[in-house]
Amino acid sequence: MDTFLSKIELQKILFGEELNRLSLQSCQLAPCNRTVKIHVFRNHAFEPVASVIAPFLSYSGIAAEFSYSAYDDTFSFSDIPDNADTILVWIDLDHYGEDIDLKFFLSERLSVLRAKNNADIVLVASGSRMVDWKDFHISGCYIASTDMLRSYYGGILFDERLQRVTATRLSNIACLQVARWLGMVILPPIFLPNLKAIVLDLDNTLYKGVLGEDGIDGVVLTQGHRYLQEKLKELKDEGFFLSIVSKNEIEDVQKMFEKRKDFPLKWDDFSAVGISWQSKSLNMSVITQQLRIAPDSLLFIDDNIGEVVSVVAEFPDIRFILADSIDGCRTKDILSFYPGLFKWHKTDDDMKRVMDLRSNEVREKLQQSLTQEEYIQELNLQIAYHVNSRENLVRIAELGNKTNQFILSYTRLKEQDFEKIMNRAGCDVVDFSLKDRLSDSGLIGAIITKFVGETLFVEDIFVSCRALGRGIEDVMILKAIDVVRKKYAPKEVQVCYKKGERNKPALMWLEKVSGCTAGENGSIIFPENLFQIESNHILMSVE
Amino acid sequence: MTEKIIQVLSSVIKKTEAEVLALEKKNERYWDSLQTIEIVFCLEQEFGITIDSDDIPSLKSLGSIEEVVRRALKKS
Repeated sequence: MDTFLSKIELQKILFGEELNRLSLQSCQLAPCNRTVKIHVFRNHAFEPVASVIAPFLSYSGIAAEFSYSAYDDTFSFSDIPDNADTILVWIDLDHYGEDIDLKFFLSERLSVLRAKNNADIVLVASGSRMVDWKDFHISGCYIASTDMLRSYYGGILFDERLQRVTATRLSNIACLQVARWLGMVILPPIFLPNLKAIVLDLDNTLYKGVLGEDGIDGVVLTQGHRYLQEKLKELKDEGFFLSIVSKNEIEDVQKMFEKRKDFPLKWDDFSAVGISWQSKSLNMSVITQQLRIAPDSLLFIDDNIGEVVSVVAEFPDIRFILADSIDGCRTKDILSFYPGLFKWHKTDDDMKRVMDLRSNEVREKLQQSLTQEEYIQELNLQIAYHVNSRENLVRIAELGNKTNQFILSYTRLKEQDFEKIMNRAGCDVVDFSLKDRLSDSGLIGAIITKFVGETLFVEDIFVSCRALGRGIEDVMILKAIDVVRKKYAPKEVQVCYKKGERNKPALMWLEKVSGCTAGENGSIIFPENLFQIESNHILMSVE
Repeated sequence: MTEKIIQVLSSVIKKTEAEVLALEKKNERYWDSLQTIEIVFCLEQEFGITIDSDDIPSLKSLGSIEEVVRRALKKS
């Protein structure tokens, strides 16, 4: 209960409209389970931001240790510490004359930095000059501009009187807003997987009023609630599942969404619903089962503190927002800064995920009424394998870092690591995409291999849980290994594994296919006959 | 007012409130221009004042800070 109350208190301080430097410096930090080292290359001071960033990062369980370069407008990137997890390039663009092509200059400097060091790079630009970063891409390099925060610091980015005294001109309010933005939006997705779903209460959360009392026409969509619904719709389009837990009659709720044409959110926008008079924690269990998502990847939003307490008591790892029952805009602002909801790269697969889940219901019905062979035939399955596809780097890295259940070795590589593997002789990454007549699941798995001597080592295998349950895991994965096997003709194939907290499904698959028992970590030999598996009725292609 | 200033100094310079009473910038290795800016930011936010840029270099001890804050309060 104490932890819960301190989280509520933190929510007020960290997501408040007005941030206060002294309150931030003296607030009780949330416990951190990840410490990261961030080295800052800069041409203006970062310290007034760093001194207030800790509470924001700690909200995601991250503690940061900062180290600094000397001020350097040339960004020579000398003396990069070997142990930096992330390099922050903190730049005031107004230090450069109009005659300097900033995009060319910075692209060249960042390429040099990437060649020197493998850490993730985050460039944060300030100043009145703008750089068009379209078509810029360096693996593991992220670009942001403080201009994105203009509406929050009220346009007062600089306090010119400071330049007479010290090496920055960022105003206090800008420093505080930037600290929140970096600590809650920009940096967490570099260190931690994003959330996957947002679970919403209805009454006094998505609109003003109580459906059961005020009726469909009586509940009010205030301007603030409209902004909130629009923000949620935006998040849905970025691939976050939306769902409802509510104590209401499901028919009434359905009718409300049908009748209230003014609501930006529609009934179909929700991938799962738990609507009944049962407790919200029971309804939440329904949601986790329907979405196949663990509670620590869910964000629960409710205006009723009692309901939040009861759900958190049952699911201690769940994230939550105590919604403002009157001002929907406040809830929207909290959501805008909530860690785990910002994606550096938006891929086509984000939308496919939402569509795919919807098709699962039909698949399940088919599976119950048909034999496995008939079922596969009926689905018109197509699997496309890609070998060392640089186009898919972002998605492969994303999947490799967020898959928890069907992952064999937890290699958890970054985009730039995958790129290096693809460039190395004897090393390969094979990704695979799945499509059937109901939906295009997109890229749903990958394997990492290394050919040494006469042995092919499969160093990791990871598959999205969305692709599981169709009875095609064996053929899908074994054929991926076979693609590389054909390339090197090894005498032996060894599949590596490491037992983790949640990868039991992957280890069970490994034991079932190989007929061997997996220990804590090691490798299992896959005999040649395993790769003779039949793949009738599945259309396969290799690119 | 003094109590709030002590709280600000203690938070920024990372000293106990008792230590802050005898604090002198010239004796503090870690009290540099960035720390001074932090003190300015906190004081301005806590007291709702704007400190004149000419006054910033004179923020060197509890006494001098009190004087600058008092002056800024009169102006606001």
